[in-house]
Amino acid sequence: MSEGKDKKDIRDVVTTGPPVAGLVSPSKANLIEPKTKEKEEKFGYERCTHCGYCRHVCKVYNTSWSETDYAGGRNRIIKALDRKDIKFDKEDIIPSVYRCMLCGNCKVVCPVGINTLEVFQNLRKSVVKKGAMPEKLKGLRKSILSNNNPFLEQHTDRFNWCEGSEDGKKAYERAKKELAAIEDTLAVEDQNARKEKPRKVGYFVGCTSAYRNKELVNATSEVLGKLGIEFVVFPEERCCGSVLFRTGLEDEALALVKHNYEMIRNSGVTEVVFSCSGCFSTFTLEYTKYAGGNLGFDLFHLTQYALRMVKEKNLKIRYTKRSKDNPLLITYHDPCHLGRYCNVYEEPRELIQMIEGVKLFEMKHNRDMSWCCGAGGGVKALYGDVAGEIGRDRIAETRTCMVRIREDRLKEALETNAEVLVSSCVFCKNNLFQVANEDNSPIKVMDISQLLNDCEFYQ
Amino acid sequence: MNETIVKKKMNGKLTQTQEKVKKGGKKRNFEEIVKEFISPYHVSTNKYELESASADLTSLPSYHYKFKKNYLASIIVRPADTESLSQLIEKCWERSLPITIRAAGTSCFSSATPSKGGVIIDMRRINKVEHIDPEKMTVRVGAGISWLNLIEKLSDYGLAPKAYPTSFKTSCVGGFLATPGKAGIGVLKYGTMADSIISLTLVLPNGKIEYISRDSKGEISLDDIAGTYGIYGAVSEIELSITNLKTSLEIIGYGFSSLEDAINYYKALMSKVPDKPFFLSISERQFERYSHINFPSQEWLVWAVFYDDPEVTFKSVSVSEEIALNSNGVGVDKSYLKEKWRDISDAEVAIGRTSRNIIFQEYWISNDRLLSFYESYVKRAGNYKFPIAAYTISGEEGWSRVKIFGLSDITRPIEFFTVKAFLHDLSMKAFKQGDSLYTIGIVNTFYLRKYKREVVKERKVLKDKLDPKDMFNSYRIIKARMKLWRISLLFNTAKLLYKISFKKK
Repeated sequence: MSEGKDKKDIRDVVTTGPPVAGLVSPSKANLIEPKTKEKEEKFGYERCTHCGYCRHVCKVYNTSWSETDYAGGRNRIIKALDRKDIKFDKEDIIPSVYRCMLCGNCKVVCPVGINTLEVFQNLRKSVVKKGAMPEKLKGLRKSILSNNNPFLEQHTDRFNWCEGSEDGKKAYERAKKELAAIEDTLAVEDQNARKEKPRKVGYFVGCTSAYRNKELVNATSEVLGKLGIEFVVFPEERCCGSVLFRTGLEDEALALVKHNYEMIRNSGVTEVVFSCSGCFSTFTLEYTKYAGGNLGFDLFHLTQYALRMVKEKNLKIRYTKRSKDNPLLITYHDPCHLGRYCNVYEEPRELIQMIEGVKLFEMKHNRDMSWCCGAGGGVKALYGDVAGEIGRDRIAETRTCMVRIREDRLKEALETNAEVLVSSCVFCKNNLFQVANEDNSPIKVMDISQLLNDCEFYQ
Repeated sequence: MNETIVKKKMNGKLTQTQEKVKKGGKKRNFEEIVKEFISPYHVSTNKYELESASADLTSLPSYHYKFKKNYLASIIVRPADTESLSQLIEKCWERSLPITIRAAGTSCFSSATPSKGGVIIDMRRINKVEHIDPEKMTVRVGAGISWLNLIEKLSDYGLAPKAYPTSFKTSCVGGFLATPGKAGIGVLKYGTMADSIISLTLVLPNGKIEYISRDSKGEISLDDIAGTYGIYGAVSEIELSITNLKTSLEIIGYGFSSLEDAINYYKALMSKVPDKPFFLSISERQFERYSHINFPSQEWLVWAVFYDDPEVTFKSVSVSEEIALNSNGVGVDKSYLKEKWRDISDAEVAIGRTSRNIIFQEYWISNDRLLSFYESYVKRAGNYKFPIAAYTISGEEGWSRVKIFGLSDITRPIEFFTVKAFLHDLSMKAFKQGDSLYTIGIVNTFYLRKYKREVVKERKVLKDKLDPKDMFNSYRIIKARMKLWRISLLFNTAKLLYKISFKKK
């Protein structure tokens, strides 16, 4: 159990019933299946009863107050378009389709179990096919397709981060060597040898860490090194395609999926570790689907892998900058891609709680009811400056949707009296770090890899 | 200067805007004027936003809106405070623009949708908790705050609202007052929403800001505002009397084979128990059946929630159990009770699982006539084969809100309209026996004009005084777009066709 008992968990708020009664959907155990016609989850909007429960948890709606910005409102639009009650308009449709963080909180509270993520990703796909796409997205697409990353950076610079990490450099050199061996010989005996090797660990870095957050990828490499793992990176690594999947450009993502999938398969790696929750969820969901349900290698987020190693090797963890008597007070922010997308809630907490010199406090909205940081679903990239542009003369209105959302999250973290907000997603870290920095907030924001890198692992 | 609706082509599409036309011929768009004092981000003419905001949370098909003169607004504006709301309404008043006030849109009877196009004023941004006074036990909030947000905020202080709707997960504070806040959670124990109000801020149709308290002696009083669907202006802030969070909550449920026994027990719980139930309801077995896999076997079920300090709750539960045993009541299985506990706010939503287009009507029935109304319902329901279910919650002293659901699908139009006809027949029954409807939407105002003429007349006098052009929430209560004879003709035809098609089968 986490500390911070004086702070209410969102599920403990009493309304008229027992805890939970007012805030999330009822238990569906004794409820009959909704009567629907749809055969596939992407048509789940058909079963929407417009109960409006999703409005309460939608951080975008609670900032924009637009009826098209929450799941039920968007479902109404899709239904109306389907039935031709309303005409398709390439320009006007864009905000209602893209002003969504795809955080999945609406999916959690939906009483009829609509897979809103599937519905809205499919909606994006279908509007793109009809020629509707935000201008900024066109730039992102172009960069990914030509440079294999969304940042307009040279593909050849992808592994520049290795310069800052001894373990990273070693991993890269190991991988290069093995790659050369594969290309040179493709010898059957070598391949057999690889298959026989009990465990071979790969680290999929991801674009944001590689180009924008080298401190995070360095920390991850060091942590894997501290855990005694001789891992490799993938010198031919390309963007995982997450951005394309989330924004309706699935078809264009498939070439990246094919490349990365074959790259990992050919490398002989049996376990792939991710520090980026976005890449991890894309592999877990989309890549697995692409591979027909079996990738042929196992996927781990760093938090899962580190926990497993610590347990297997019977290690203890000590935070080197504080003591047991003067612990660092931490609150953990669940990234949507790790939590609601992949159901990884407990491993990060278990890992943090194993660290001597650290104490965990929960925020009111945690686990599957955690608030999104505001960076998901392309909202940051596409709508980061919308309100800023149109409301310069009003301070209250110049805050962008995304800024307000991340401010809310930071405020909730501050309420726990924690000194550090830890997340396990590079996007959450960046977004929350930015607001903490801008507001001169007393709370520090860091990635879990950075926290672990400040720890000592011992027996 | 003239106000005119101008249709023009922009970027190849036809747009419709209200424009102020100056004599010199130079035009200033209403939208531009509003954007001078309300963030452009919250002034929208986006086609899809207009479509969404011009509808409410109903699952009824779109014809339900489109029969109206102009169901679609031309612009949506979301002011953030009373001052900008006042300024906005004043601009509309100057231009005689129709106004529809909306927030969550949960009343589902087109109560918050346009009937003459114009401007939708979305109140959701006026949602601040302005002041909580734990000593005086009061809270002042923006009317656009959702009940759930208010509950969450108050619970941090160990406080809670007194009365709120079963739709509290989605609905807003202002909406409950307008539609009409007389039945729901806590009403039996603490009184209606109107009873909880200490004061409020109202923006009149001309934009003037009026502060109204219980003692106000102006032309408009608190009583005029409660349950009148915003026809006299927009409530922007409300000061409410609140209570403290209690520590003990228990639910009881008893099943009865006889309707009369169930209603007698329901009524006994209102008067013979030391502490009045926090929530009290009757459901028909069918109602449980349409949303649950396992459900109680008795035909009529009475549910009561007691919520107070442990001693008070315990006493109330004991007395209630005793009365039940003397009234042929059979206790409902504990596992179902536990579920029902959670179900208070979800019951009316859960039944929607079985139907694409759920249809319902809410009747406001005196407890003295509750049995005769229910008997009429049971008798009439026997004539039809489509799924129907009844669910009642207690309202203010002596009254109950009976909600009858018909589960249908517009793809079966004869059945769909026959369900509506069935509900219409019950409405006629209610009015004829001196009762009324609980929620009055835009369509069913004709009942009031036929059966509640004096009330309508009285409302109209004040409306003419405050809003002579009827631009504010038009067609609510005092005007009717639909004629009773036309509805009767439509529904009788539907019933006839239903009978014919049923016989053929």
